[in-house]
Amino acid sequence: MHELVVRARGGDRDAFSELVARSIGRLTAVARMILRDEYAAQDAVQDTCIEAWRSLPGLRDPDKFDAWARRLLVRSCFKSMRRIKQVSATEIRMTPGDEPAIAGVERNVALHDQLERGLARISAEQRAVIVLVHYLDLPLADAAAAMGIPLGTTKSRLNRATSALRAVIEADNREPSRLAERIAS
Amino acid sequence: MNDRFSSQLRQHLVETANERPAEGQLAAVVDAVATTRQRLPLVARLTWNPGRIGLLPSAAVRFGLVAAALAIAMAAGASLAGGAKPTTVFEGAWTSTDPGDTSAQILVVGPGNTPAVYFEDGYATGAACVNDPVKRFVARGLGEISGSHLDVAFPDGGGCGLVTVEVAGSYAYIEASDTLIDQDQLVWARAISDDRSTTKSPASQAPAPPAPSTPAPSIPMDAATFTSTVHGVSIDYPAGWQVRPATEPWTGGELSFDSPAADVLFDPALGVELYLVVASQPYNGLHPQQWLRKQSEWLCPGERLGAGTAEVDGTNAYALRCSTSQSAVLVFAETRGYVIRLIASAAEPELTETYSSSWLRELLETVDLRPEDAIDAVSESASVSPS
Repeated sequence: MHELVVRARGGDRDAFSELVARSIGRLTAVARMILRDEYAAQDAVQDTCIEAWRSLPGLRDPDKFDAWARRLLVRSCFKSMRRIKQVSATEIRMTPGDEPAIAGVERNVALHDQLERGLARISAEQRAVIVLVHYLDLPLADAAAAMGIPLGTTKSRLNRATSALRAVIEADNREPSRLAERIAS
Repeated sequence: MNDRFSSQLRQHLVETANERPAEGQLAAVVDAVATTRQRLPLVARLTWNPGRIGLLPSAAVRFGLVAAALAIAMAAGASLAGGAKPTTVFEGAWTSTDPGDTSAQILVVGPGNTPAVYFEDGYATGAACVNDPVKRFVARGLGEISGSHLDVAFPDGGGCGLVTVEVAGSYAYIEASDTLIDQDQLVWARAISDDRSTTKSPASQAPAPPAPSTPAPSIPMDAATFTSTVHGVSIDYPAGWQVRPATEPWTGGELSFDSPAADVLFDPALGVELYLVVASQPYNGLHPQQWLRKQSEWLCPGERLGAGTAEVDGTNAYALRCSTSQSAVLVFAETRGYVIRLIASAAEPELTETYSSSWLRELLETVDLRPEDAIDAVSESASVSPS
């Protein structure tokens, strides 16, 4: 990896393509989770890769390529989120998962549904911190670096995101019909 | 945090993650990279040792340097462009503010796809000029335009006279704001206000009028976006401005340039003479109307020129025009109130004219309220919206 980054940094497009091939899957998964929009996620990843290529000569430590690329991706996702904000809000209202839960389904399936609905309702910034910490398993300091915010802010954002997610799920459990009503209104 | 919940969440994310790239996604990236040039590793911006000298000593000096830089830019622009209509979007004179020491920088691009380029930093604080009595850094080079990118090589390097150092620059043209962004994400604004739609050359406007005291006549609003990690809001700000984020929640009291509880967005060339203050706080038991009255008392202590309802990011707001130099907007989110205050020095008529209430309205359209992300002094959880 180190050698590929060094070569790509020197202008070797084949080396950069190899780097992209190795990381595009993970980057796309993260973008999908943060943006919850397939096309926006693909665009964010493409923008990230092109920006990475253009700025690579400025990367001093080749071993930090992954962290650097993550940061570019998160920034690109936030930028994209601002563009699609209104569209997303509409999509959330129409999510079929907002319908009341069907009785008799297995508990873990219900939990997955609830988590999915909860993740759809929290902000992109909150999803980002959850994805970085719980999916990529990054230490908080690395997640903070990826989002470009202080460590303390990252901690509080993660706490608030988790609390908000729990709150959505608990409310879902209590009053599914009223929740659906409120979201549809 | 509940460990069991975290574990369930982690499991859910891992199980539902889709790490398979879309069909053709990798090929599209490879194709795009094949036609994209890398930015040069050396930078044209001269902040090798930022903070060594610090901020320039006074507003008068800063005004002088900005005005001088603009005058030089206009003259150099006329010289390089030769008065013809611009042949590329890059052609003309551009200015930026060095974020390291707030000095004015200019870039003049000549006509054609391989234009002559002149770069100048009016007050270079880097090592290259450390022994020079006059800290004016100059470099002359040749550019190469490819699409919306301009790469510049300076074969003879640049310097203040005694020593020359190697420099290079890479600039992307942003059509929406008619600005350039260099390899360090520094935004360059046109030194001379011109209307691109009429393809009128900046140089063809010569003889140029005296340089205005504002740093850049054009005020692109989409230059950059600031997201406040304390106050739960994001807002765009003009090219060349800087941000000093709040370091603590706003618990009350007046907000000014030096308030640690305020996000301060300012023009580094003007400092306290032109800035925006952004802050938010929970209502703390007050009705929004009571909260409005409380804030109005310090925002507009005397007579006001005008007031009225407004809307910011789909949320009700109240706009106050306290004087020709001070305006404010109070926004009533569900869980907290926001203050966005604009100060432009009354001593500079050009400032109050340029940074008017209509300018503020334009800026407010970029506001994105995120009250759920705000941090409060007493309890962070208190800022989570219950809905």
